[in-house]
Amino acid sequence: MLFNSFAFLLVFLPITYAVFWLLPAKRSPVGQVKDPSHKTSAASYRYIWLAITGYVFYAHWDPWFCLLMAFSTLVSYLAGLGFLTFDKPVARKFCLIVPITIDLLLLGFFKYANFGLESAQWLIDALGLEWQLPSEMLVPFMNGWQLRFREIILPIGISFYTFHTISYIVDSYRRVITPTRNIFEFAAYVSLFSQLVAGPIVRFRQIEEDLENLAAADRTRWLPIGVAYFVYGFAEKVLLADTLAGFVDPAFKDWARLSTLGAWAAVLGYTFQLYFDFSGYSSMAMGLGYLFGLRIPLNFNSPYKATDPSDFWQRWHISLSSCLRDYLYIPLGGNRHGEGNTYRNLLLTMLIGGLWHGANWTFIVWGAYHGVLLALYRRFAWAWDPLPRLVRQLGMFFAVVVGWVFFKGESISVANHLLATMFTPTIGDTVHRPEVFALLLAIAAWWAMLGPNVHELTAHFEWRWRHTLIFSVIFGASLALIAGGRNSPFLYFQF
Amino acid sequence: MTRISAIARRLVPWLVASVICLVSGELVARFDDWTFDDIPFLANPDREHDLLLRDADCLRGRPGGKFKKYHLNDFGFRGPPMTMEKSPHVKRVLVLGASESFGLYESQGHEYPELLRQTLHKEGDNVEVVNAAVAGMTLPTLTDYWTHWVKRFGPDVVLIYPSPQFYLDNEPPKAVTPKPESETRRAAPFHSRLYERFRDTAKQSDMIKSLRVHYLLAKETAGKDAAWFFRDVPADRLKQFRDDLEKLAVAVQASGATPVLVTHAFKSPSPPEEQDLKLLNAFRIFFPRAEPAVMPAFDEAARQATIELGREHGWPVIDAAGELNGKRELFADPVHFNDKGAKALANRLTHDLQPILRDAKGGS
Repeated sequence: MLFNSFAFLLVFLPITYAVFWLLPAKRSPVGQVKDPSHKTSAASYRYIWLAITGYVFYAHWDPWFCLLMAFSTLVSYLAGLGFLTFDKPVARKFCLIVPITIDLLLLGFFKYANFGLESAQWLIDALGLEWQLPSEMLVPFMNGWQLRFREIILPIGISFYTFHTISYIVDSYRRVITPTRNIFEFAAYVSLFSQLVAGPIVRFRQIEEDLENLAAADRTRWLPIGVAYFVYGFAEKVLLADTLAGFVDPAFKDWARLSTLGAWAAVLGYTFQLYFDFSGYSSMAMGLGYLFGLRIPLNFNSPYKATDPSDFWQRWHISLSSCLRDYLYIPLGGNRHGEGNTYRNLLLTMLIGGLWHGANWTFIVWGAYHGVLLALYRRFAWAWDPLPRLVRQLGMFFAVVVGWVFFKGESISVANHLLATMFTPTIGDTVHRPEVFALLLAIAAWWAMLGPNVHELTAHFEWRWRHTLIFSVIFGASLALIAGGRNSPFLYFQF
Repeated sequence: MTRISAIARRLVPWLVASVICLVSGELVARFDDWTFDDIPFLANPDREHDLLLRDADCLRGRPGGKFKKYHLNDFGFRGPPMTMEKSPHVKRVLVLGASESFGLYESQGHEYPELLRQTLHKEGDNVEVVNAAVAGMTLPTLTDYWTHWVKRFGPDVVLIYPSPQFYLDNEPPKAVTPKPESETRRAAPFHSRLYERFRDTAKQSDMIKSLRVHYLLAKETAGKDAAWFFRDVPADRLKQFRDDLEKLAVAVQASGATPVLVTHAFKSPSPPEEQDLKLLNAFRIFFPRAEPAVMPAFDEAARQATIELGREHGWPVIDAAGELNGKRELFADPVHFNDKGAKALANRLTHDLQPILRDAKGGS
């Protein structure tokens, strides 16, 4: 069920919203802190409803994978209880390592098993050995009363909710948060539909306070800003990203026939399509969070305004980059053990970051590329930083665009072919309706590189008559495109 | 009055917002159509109006016609530009049929005649494939169409992919001889593109589809007695199908071209299985006289009739139905192919057509 679909807008969201706010919410006594003595949280009805709606939302894709998510939730919840119960380092380490291993094994199996087999086979063939591994892993499932096997299907959102649970476990171990005894609260956190399938990766500590105060949430306080975020994200996704996709997707389908201009047009189009698609989703997720009294953190802060690689990663997919920093880069040693180790840590972190995006060598190359950019910036910041801001912004943008070629390419050879086409004069095809595409690209570029983002637009937000007008125009235009079949799945669903 | 004005004060902003929403949607829908489907901003697209031309002789495709993804060339055929005279040393294959051949659900450029053209080229054959199919054309109308228009293009081989299901309609198919356009053509009336988009989206909803099927079937079958329904393959309709197909193929052969009969493929096997009944029942809104199981049964009977006809006259027959029937993954609905199905048919035709092309003498 997509946010930009009629089923979500006209059925799921209204029902979820109405029931949530109609549920009796017992108000917490003023000053109540989380009670470690098994008292039920005052907002349990709302936790239960959010958990149920999260599972209904997820089941729309594949009901069987709800069991997987439920299992992961239960394992992490029990780990939290373990941290509340045990003080001994050995026991706490057990509660840290075992659940994380289970989570990572599940993620590794569903996401990387076939990739691992392919890569291992390639290596075996390269070494000249005559071993034949299975071409793909099969998983059992029940078809009625019969046991069957089928190829692995990647459960949607597994990369995201696994990070939610891992962050919860690690923060509990580090005593950054107090784990919750309320299974419904935890289930609501993991399965919250607004960020379940494509982020942002929300750490428990970031919405812990809001979850605790769910009973006292003020519907009218958050409604205007929630709607503002949602409609803004809607515009980004439907008006910009999906319209750009109408030009970009056919061009990439016939990538071998593109001219130099066509390749640049397609890649630039994809650059903005990806940004508005993901940023739009994140804005919608934030808006939906507000509608239910939950403040979901910002995930994009105008990344194409970045002036260097470090700045870029503080603006792009902030929830992921901060997780990578806190749970990988810093534990590896960060920048505390000399320049050489710092470069190594940057590269490793970004390699894992690339691999997180998908089981393909192109993502690994993309991750490594950004790792190299970060290392180079660290080394040559003294030369880069004094340059004029515009030069740095355009330079960083150019570097990011080159990286997206690997992100988008089906394989390394396709990516190489595209880069060669971009940088050597080639005759061929360009995008459909280039004059309209150029206008759309100009609008997208202005919006992404110069214009205000949703956070800036909604600072000190107060609903005015002009907002009603603007949102009506956006909503009408978006509905026309959705009804015309121009709503594509969010690009980050595949991760 | 105070209460009314209070209510009005609350309602008016919502009404204004709704109007703005609708106007914005309509403008964007038109801009989107212009950008991606080349439909002029102020045009009122209408499939029949934009794709069909009626003159005193026959019904045919409108030269240069455009409607959504359907673009016709200067002769009213779906496909690339061409000349009336075929190039020397090139064999011309012409496809006659209805929407299954014209293309309906396939992505742009994936209808089977276009794929056939591509695969024959890949095989190194010097062949031109012309998609002369017209959506909705029955065999009698196709014969008129051939006689008055298509045969002048002098094909070497004519692939005939007939649509047997038209013979299960309320009345058997008859040749359409429409009045000339000068007498009947009017500008297509204004209609909202936004409304059309919502309507088409709503039709895709399973619940609405179900209600619609129930309502339409009830309307069509209300008051009909048991004898009106086809509970078995109607022998008279089957005979008429055979006769009409024979008439068309004889007309093709008379011009010097080689008629090649292609058996019509159907999504569900005969008899249908449990999983097919829902779709067949929905398909009945077009052919309400036929019980669900009769549709695939008639198609199978038509297949046998086609094969027999070919044997009797010595015409080549490509038994596409034998290969594709019952392969549900190849169809978007009981009779129309999806991309995968179109490719499967194109591959089969390529394989069987090559020896026929070698022997074909050519038409005039």
